[in-house]
Amino acid sequence: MVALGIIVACSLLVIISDIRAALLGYLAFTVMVILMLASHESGFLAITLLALLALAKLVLGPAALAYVIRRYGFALNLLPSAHLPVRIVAVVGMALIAHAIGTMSAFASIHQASVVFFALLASVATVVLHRSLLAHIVGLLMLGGAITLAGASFAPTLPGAIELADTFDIIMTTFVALAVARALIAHDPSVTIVSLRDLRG
Amino acid sequence: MSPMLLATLLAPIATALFASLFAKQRIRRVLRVLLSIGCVVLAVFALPQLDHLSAIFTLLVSVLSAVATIFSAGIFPGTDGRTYVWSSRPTYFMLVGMFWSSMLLAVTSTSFIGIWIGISSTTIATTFLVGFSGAKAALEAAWKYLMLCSFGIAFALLGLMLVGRAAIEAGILPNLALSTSVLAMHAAHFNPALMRAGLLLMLLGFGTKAGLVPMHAWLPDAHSKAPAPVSALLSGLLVSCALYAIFRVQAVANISAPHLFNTTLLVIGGLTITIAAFLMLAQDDMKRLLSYSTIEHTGLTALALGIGTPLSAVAALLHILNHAFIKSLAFLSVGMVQHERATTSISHWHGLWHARSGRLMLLSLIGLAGLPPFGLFLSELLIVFSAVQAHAWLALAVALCGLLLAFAALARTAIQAESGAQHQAAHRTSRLAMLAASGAAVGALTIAVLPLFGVR
Repeated sequence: MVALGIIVACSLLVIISDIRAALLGYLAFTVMVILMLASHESGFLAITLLALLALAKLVLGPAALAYVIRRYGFALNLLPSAHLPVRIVAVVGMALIAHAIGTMSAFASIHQASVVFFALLASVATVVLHRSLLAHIVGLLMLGGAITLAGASFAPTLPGAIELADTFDIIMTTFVALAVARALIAHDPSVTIVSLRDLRG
Repeated sequence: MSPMLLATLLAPIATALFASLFAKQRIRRVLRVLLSIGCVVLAVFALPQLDHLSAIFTLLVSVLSAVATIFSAGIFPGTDGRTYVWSSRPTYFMLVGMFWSSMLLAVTSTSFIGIWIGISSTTIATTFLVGFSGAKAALEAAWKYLMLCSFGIAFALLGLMLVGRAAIEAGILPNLALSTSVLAMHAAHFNPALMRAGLLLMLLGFGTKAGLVPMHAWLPDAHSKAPAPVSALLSGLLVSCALYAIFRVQAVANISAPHLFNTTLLVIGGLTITIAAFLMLAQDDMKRLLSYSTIEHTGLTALALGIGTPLSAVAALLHILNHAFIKSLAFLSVGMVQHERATTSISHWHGLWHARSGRLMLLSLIGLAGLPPFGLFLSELLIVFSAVQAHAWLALAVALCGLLLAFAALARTAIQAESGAQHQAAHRTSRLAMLAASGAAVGALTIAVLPLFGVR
C-alpha cells in the first residue's frame, strides 16, 4: 500500500505543473518514505535518526522552498517542457523501465527495488520535464527521498548515518540551490532553464 | 580518527574563520598566508598515519590549496557589484577553507562513505565559489554544476549501498562493509551481479565529479566562470580527488569485476579524450580551453586506469599529480594575465612574453602539451608504453590522436598569445600572487624530477 502511494506521488510530481501541488506531492511522497523506513527501525538511535530525517525532509526543505517562493515572488508555474500526454507517457515508460531494472538478476533479491528505481527515475524526470528552476529544486528534494528509500530497501543493515549524511547533503544543496536561484532572478525575474544557455561550445 | 588527523582536516576552515576575526585587511592577509603554510605543515605531520596513496593526495591537496589561498590573498576575485550572501571577502576564504577540508576528508578517509561525504560536500562550497562574481554566466555555471553533480554523486551513493549490501550478504560486519581495505581484500567473494551494478554506479557518480563523458557538461562552464584560484582548485584538485575515488573503486573492482570495470573505463576514457580534444581546437576563451584540457587529461587518466596493468596504474597516478600542479599553474597565470589585461579572450592577447605572468603561462602551456621538462611528458610516455605492453592498440590510437589535437590547440594558443609587441597592462599583478603561481611552477618541476631520483 505504501509502495503504491510512493508510485502515485512520484507520478504526480512528474505530471503536475503548479509548485503548490508539487510541494504537497513531495510531502506525501516523503511521509510514505518515512513510514516505510519506520517499519524497519527499532531502538533509540534508529528512532532518533529517523526523527532527524523527518525534520530535515518534511520541515526544513519544504519550509525553505515555501519561504523563498513567497519572499521573492517566484512564478508558481513549473513550466512543463512537454505536453501533458507526453508526461503521462513518460511516467508509464519509467514504470516499465523501473520494473525491468528491478527484475534484473542483480536486484532480484532486493525488496521493492522497482519502487526505488521508479522514485529515482521520477526525480530525474521532474528535472528534465520542467523548465522552472523550482522544479529542479523539487527534483533534488525527491532525489533525497529516493536515496533514503534506496537505503531502506538495498542495505537496511548499513549504518543509518549514511542516510542521515545524504539527507544533510541534499538539504544543504537545496539551500544552496535556493540562494543561487534567488541570485539568478535578481538578474532576470523570468529566468528559466531555457534562458540559462549563455554558456555553450 | 586520531586527534592529529582531525586537526589536519579542520585546520583549513578553522584558520579561515580565525583570520576573518581581525578587522585590518593587512593583518588578515598576513595571517591567511602564514596559516595556510601552517595547514600544510600540519598535514605533513599527519602523513605517517595514512597509507601511501592517501598520503600523496593529502600532500597534494594541502600544498595546492595553500597556493590558491595565498594567490587569492594577492589578487582577490572581483564581483559584478551586486551583494550576495557569499560575496564578502571573509566568506570567500571560509568557502575555500571548507572546500580544502572537504577534499582532505575525501582523501584521508579509510571508508568509501567518508570519501563520498568528502567529495559530495565539496559541492556546497564550490557552488558559491563558482558563482562568486555574481555575473549571470557565473551563476548559470554554478546552477549547472550544482544540479549535475548532486544527481551524479547521488548515484555514487546508490552504488555504495549496493556494494555494502553485497559485503553484508557475504558476512562482513555492517560497520566494515564500506571500508576500502576490507572491500579490496574480500570483494572476490561477494555477489557478482550486485558488485557489478554497484561499482558501475560508483564510477558514474565519481566520474561526474571528475568530468568524464557523458557527465562532463558542467565542467567547462564551472571551471571557466569561477575566479582563477578557484578554477585552479577545481581543475587541479577536485578532479584529482574524484580520480582518487575511482582509484579506490578500481582496487575493489580488480578482484570483483575487473573486465567490465576496466572496459568501461577504457570506453569512457577514449570518448572523453576525443570529445575534449576536438573542442579544445574551437575555443577562444583561455579558461574554457584549459577546462577542456582538464577533461582531456581526465580522460587520459581513465584510459590509463582502464588498461589495468601495474605500469598503467603508476602512469595514471603520475599523470594526476603532474596535471594537478601544471593545471593549477596554468589557471593562476591566466588569472594574473586576466587581471592585467581584463580579458580571457585569446584573440585579444598579444605579446604576453614580455610580462612575467605571460612567461609563467607559457611554461604551463609547455607542461600541458606534454613537453619536457614537465612531468606530463613522462606520465604520457608511460601511458603509451603501458598501452603497447597490454596490446591495447585502439586505446593507444585514441590517446595519441587526442594528445596530438591537444598539442595543436595549445601550440596555436601559445603562439597567438605570446608573440607580438608588448601591450600596456591595465593593472599590475601583486607580488604575492606572482609568488604563489611561481610556487606552483616549482612544485610542477619538482614533481617532474622526483621519479628520476627513484622516489616511490
